Amino acid sequence: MTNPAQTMPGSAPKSNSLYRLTGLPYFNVAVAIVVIYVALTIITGDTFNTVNNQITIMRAASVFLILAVGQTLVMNTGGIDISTGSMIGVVGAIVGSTLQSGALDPMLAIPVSILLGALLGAFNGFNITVLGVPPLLATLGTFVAYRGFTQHYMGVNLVTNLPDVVTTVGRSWGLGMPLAVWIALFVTLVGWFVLTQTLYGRYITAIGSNPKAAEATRLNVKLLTASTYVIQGALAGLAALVLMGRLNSSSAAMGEGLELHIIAAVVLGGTYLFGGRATMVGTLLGVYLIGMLENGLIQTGAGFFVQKMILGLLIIAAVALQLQQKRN
Amino acid sequence: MQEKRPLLEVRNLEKRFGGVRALQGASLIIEAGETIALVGDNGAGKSTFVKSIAGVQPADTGEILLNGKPVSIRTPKDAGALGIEVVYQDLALANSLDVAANVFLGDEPRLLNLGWFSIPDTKKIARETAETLKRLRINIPDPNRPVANLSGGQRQAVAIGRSVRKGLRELLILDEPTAALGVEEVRKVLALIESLKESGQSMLIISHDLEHVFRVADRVAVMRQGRVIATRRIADVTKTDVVRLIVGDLEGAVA
Repeated sequence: MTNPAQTMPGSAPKSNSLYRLTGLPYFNVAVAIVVIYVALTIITGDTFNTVNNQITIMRAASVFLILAVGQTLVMNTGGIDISTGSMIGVVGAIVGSTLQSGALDPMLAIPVSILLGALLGAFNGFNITVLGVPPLLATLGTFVAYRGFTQHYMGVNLVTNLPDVVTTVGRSWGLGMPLAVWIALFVTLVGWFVLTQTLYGRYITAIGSNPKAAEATRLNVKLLTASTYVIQGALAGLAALVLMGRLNSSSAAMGEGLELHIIAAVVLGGTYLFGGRATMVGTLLGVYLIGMLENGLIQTGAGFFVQKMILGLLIIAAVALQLQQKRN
Repeated sequence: MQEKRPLLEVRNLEKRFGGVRALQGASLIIEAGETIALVGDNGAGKSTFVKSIAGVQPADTGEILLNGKPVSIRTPKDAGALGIEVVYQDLALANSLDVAANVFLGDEPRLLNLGWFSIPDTKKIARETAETLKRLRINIPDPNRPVANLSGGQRQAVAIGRSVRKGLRELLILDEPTAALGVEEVRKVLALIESLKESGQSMLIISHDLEHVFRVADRVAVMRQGRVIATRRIADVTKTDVVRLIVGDLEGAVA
């Protein structure tokens, strides 16, 4: 006969061996990085393992990293935001075109981008927490709607020749690295601090872990949950600016296809897709892993579509691995 | 005979869910310092009754008096402010946080106060958690582990510990504290309830297990069809009597 106690909540989810061995949720991704790094170095000869190429990877990854920090917080509550690329589109369209027409003072480009993004994120947060639309569908809705707005607003126009403030954000260098990389690393550092050192990090972890518990302890579950979408939106606004600056342009397609890239990076890093556990270090590594893979695939001659295939399969693998960990 | 002071007096609670009358004039008096068990078949209204006292689902009509004064309990916050604390069956613990973080969740002492972005005083939290656990004689070898890694009994103990961290509450409500636990775990949880009782904590315990009810309760209140149909001193009844009250012929039982 089985003792019912053995199957009760006390018998906790255990993790796979590597995680158990180290206690680090991002151990898997760190191992993957080392293995793939070595493999790519061997395969590509000497083009992958160079300082310049590594900077190229990080520069390309900077926009993803900014967004992934927000996604980590969202996912920690048990939510998901797939509208990030479309939010970038809206911010790029509005800020880009008003900058070009002179309606927006370049000095205000940064705060306006962030605020506009926060507003777009707040709409997601409202739909999810007040109207109760499940996060996946709420952000699928805005994923389509925000992109639709951008395409309607921009048509086939291309905004170019952006003011110096914007191109500086996207293109200038400092201390041996592009400014965009420093911005992304700074955002990650702040995200790490908020997640691990403040009550906010605890509270959103509690929400993702057990929303009832959070509510029973009188946390404002709705407002806290909504706030993660606002932060994600604000970071999308910042990312839009960085991306616009790097491209020195903005179009109806800006930011398309970013979402999955980011979600894959966060999940690969060890943050639970189902909430209750998040790691910024893992997110940083996950973003680098995907950036490195993409870069390596290009160098080995694999096309854009092959990259997409691999990215999609990676997400499935990462989630399957997490489910496995939860079950064991 | 010494007159006991009524702590909580619940009068004629009524609650409807659409066409279902979940509470049909439920009344109960809980005396200060006593441990009263609330029993009844599924659907008798135990949960609804407790949820109305806890402010989770306020009753449609009826009165609640605490220490003789009428009180309005519309939200869990109201109940908490009055010193009524509930430990729910699903425990309401955040699995991925550690013991100390759970014990203090939502009420952390702060090193630097910045609203949501405050920095918690983790040393104080750890110290006071250890003191609380010690006071209640709860033994958890490693309080730094996520509570997901604890046994069911330990989790129950953490949940109870959280509710009495700041000292005794006016009323502690335990919802099925021994459900789904192994034998040894049950023993520990009952011991914890007994030590709370010794320290004078008033408790209302919902339970299906009459064995446990008879071990820790002073009185038992039986619910049926949305009413408390009888209260008995444990010393005056047998388990068979109580079972008859729960499921037996209504007329004969209450007589």
